[in-house]
Amino acid sequence: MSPNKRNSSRENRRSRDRVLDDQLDLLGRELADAMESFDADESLDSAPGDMLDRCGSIPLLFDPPTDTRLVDGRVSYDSWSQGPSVPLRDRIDGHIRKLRLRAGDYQIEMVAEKRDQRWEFTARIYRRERVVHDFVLKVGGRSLMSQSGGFFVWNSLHVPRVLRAISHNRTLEFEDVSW
Amino acid sequence: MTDNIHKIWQLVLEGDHRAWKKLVSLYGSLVFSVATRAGLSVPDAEDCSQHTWLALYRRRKSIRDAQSLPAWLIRTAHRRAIYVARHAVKSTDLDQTRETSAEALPDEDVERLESRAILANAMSRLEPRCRQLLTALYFPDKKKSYRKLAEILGIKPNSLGPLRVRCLRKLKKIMVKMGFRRD
Repeated sequence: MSPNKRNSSRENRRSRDRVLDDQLDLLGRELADAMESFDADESLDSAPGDMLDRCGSIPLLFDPPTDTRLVDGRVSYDSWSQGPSVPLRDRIDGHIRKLRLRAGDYQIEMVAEKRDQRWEFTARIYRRERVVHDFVLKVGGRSLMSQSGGFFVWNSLHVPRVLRAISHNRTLEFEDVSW
Repeated sequence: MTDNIHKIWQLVLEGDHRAWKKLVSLYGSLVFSVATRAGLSVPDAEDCSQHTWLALYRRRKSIRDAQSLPAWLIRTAHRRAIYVARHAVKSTDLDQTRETSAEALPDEDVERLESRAILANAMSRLEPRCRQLLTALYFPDKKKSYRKLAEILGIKPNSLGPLRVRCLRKLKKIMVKMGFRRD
């Protein structure tokens, strides 16, 4: 293409762009301007999916649904049922207890440790060996949501006899947990 | 579930949990980004986000204007993020809510983040071709020459202009539908 033809082609394109710009109404131009003004480093960081699940379960803390499918659970493993642990190098683990609670496809792994006069609990809910993040835990009168990694952490003077894990469509119920 | 912020919020106020999940999916990245930009680690940013959403749920009945939600989330997340950064405290126990006295984010920063989030949500609802075109035309790190862009889209370079107009109009329509623009 000769230089003259090339220049003419460029002019035509610029003129066409001007015409097209005029076709954009005011809001359209505002949108274009807004997009032009963003820098690359203003892209939003994607929120982790499990965090979105946890935040999505917040209403369950206050207004749990009453029509979810109820699944009764049981204690399927208790570290204390295997007898007291043998002290190793003067370290006694008698105040740490591990429980596994199972309800259908779900299980709750819990560790309870007594320190001074209080119990400290850590729990995680799994479905088929994968941590789930869309449940809240009701323990006694308390409502808990999990932290990063899916861990429920709380402490109490007393051990819980009843635990309920509630999602939008399922309630896992563990009654009369014997300690 | 609707994309319109006013309808979503009305449903949240009526106790619709699905609407709440929709709201979280729309603005989860915005809230998370405010926390990461304040310098928090990913776990702390997650905790900050959870705290922010918890605060919103608790105060939901005092917020009538759904269009103010993004700015509310940004300011609340920012205050919490600064507090966490200073005190290295995290809490997701319902009984431990704390007020912070951290400095507020300037209005123009709030508006900028808000616009970014609204645009990102609207762009995600565009057809792929328009999304690709507008991203390539307007986002600096992704800018390509007209010729290269036309090649990627499989059209003639001189068709890019009219396509740009059509795509911007579609984007505007989406934003009107979402409740963020007047038609």
